[in-house]
Amino acid sequence: MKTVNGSFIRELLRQPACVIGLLIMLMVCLAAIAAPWLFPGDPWRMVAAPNLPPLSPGYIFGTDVLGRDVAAGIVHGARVSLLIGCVATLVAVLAGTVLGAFAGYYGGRIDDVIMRFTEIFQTIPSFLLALLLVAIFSPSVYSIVLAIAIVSWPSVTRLVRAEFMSIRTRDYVKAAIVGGQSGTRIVFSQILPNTLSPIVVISSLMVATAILLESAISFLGLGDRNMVSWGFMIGAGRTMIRQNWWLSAIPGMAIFLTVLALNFIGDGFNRALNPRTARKRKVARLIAAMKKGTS
Amino acid sequence: MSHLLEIRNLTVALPDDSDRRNAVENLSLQVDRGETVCVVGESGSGKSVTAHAVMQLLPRHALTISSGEILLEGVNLLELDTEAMRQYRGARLAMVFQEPMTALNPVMTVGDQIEETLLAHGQRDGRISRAKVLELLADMHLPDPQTLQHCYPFELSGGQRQRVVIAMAMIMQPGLLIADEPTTALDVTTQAQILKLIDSLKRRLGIGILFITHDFGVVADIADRVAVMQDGRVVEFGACNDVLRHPRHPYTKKLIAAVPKLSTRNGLVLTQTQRQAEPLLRIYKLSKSYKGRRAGLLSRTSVVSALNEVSLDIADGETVGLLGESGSGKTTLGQCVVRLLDSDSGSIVFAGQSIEKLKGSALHRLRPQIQMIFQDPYSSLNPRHKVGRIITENAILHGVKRNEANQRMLEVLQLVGLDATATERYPHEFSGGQRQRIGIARALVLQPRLIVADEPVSALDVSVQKQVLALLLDIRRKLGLSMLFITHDLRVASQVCDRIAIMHKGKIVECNTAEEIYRSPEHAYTRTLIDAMPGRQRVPDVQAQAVPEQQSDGARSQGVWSQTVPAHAGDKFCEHGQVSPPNFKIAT
Repeated sequence: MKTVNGSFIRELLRQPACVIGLLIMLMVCLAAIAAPWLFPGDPWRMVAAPNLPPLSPGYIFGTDVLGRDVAAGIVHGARVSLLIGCVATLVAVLAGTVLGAFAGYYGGRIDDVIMRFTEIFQTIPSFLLALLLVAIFSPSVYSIVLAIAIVSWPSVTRLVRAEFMSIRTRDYVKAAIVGGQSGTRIVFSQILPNTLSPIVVISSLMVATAILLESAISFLGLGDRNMVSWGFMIGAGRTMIRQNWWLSAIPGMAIFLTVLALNFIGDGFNRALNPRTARKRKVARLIAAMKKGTS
Repeated sequence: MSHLLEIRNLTVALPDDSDRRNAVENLSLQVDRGETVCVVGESGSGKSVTAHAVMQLLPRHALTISSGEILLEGVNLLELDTEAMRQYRGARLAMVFQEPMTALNPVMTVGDQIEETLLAHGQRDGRISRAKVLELLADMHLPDPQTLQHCYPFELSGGQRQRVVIAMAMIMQPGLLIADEPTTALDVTTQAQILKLIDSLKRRLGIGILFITHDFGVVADIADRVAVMQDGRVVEFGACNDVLRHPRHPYTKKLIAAVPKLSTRNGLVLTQTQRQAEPLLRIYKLSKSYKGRRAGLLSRTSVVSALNEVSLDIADGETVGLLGESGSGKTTLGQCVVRLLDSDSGSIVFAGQSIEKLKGSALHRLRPQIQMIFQDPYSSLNPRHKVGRIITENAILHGVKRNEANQRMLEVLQLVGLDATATERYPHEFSGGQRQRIGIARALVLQPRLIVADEPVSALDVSVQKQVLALLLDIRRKLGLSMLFITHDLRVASQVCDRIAIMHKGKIVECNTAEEIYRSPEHAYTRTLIDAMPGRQRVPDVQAQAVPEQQSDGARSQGVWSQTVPAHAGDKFCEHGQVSPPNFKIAT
């Protein structure tokens, strides 16, 4: 596995866009981790005169109408965005993968039931459903994560189902059946490892969508009241957009960069994991052994 | 007079990190008008690259022609610009591809597709071109061209599709036809027809044909001259008869010797004594049909009958061949026996137990006793698992202790001729033949009593094929297994099988020993199959000279089996048990 991993990372680093994406995400993650040390205390606190423009001494992104530090909001907001993006994606990918795996492997009735259930969610506009769910469960980090996960799993299910449907016809799956392996074992130990590449790719892109969804929910004022988030900051700044444009533009830029970076990374993963573009590995040293073995 | 096509010192470079420098190295060959030149070699020998280089269809950036000339009627194709080359393609040289389904556009009628070539070369008058298309379709012996021109590719059979592809290539009456394994994807009987068609085109129109193939039987049928390729180089180039009769290069000798021959081995005596006992496997009136798609809401589902009351016995220690064309139901039967598919009616009795309806733990206990070997060595091993796990996993699941499973694995690896170091590697590190050995090891480690082998050698090159067949025979002899050997190739079947059952349209039409089937086929379909075998019709005198060479080589490699030679082997048998009727050369 070592050599496979090594060549995978080399393949990633060969793509400039992917490297840029990785660097941006590294910075966002560092900012999120270091937030309590960079900007100690509550980011909601009023710390300076209101409406300071960006690059004011001590407040590089300026302050908002209530004198809160925009830079502190951005850094603390990174925590919320990443947390919600990653956890929601994790939940959606887990649920979607399991459902898609069983639907794709068993087919027939099980497939029908799971797919009709999936279609219920797919026919409802996802953003409205997410808003509705947050409104019903009262806004909190948990309800937002849940809402985003609920609207995102169907696409994972469809993808995983398609992968399973194609892989279950491979001979090694037949060999496992003839060898007496159980259905669950075949699903998780034979097929699932072979579907990981598309799942990894879609996950990185889903984190980006989840961050956008969270921002949109917070923008509309349905976010968690106790946590500052990028979407909330844009929403709060929009009334002042003609005087203090940076109040919306700076968190907007943060969202834009993060989502762009995640997309770059997703593309990079896709290319590095796709066997058709990845370079072939050498087998030369084995051929000698083979000739010895067969003659 | 100059040659129609002359390739001079052609070298095609591979990308830097490949295992060899050039795909094709310093290749020279000529094709004259009215002759067929076969380029023959194993996979990776560069024969397809040569064909694509002449058509200038090489993938840009990946494969580049680094030196050499390709002269067509004295014009160097490599110096032509894109537009000039476009005008040459189709008009002066044309190509027929291996897979007729993907070579045709699925959303265009075949008539339109053929006409498109005319349009691309400036024929604007629809009536003239339509008439030409119809004439050509009739020329290709396609039935009812008027109706057929409006058909979509999926409505045609494989052979008909390949005829359409050839029609497309021939419409501008090119002087040179390049055929890249045009019959490899087809059944034997269809292959024989297509070869006849190509040969008649050559005779009638006097065109030159560059024919790429891996099958010496096909070479014997249609070639005037043969170029044998190995690792990108032509190792031997000469008249067909000379090369086949007196191969000079050791590689050519090896390839010709590896071509499966029709042979009979003993087995009759053994099975007759055992016939009185209960057979290990008894298939009785087994039927299976597939439901087709419904055309509309109200229409009935169409039902395709894959197995129609098939009955077959396999004795303990016996190998039975199941021979038939694609769609004959042979794979379905194999999968019913290993319980990958459920049968509709009839019974399968294995070792006295009725197994066709087993479920749950009873089925789980049965599994290790009936194992399967698969056709495609590339898809039959999980790419994410190490070989050690692939081989031992099932045994451990059936309660074998890890130590003992490993012990068994080492024994089995030795039996199939692989190093113990193989267990720590992933399947992608092995060649096709090695992978097939791993697949066989996986089946054997469970110590089965019956193995269903579904075309185990048809995806392999001839020389590897020969080794794997030898291995299967060896295993059979050492372990006394029974085997159901599914294949489409009578020659291969005759090498390993005690009896051969011929399947046709879901029924077993004949079941007998290889020798009897060849000598006195009872069913009309069996006769068609035998007649269609490539390399059969040609030059009766070749056999006499070719045989000693084969014998010496064959005897050496088959020395292990010499004890299975029937004592009563008459003059029709070679020493090592090969049938060699006088007109049955090389491919026999």
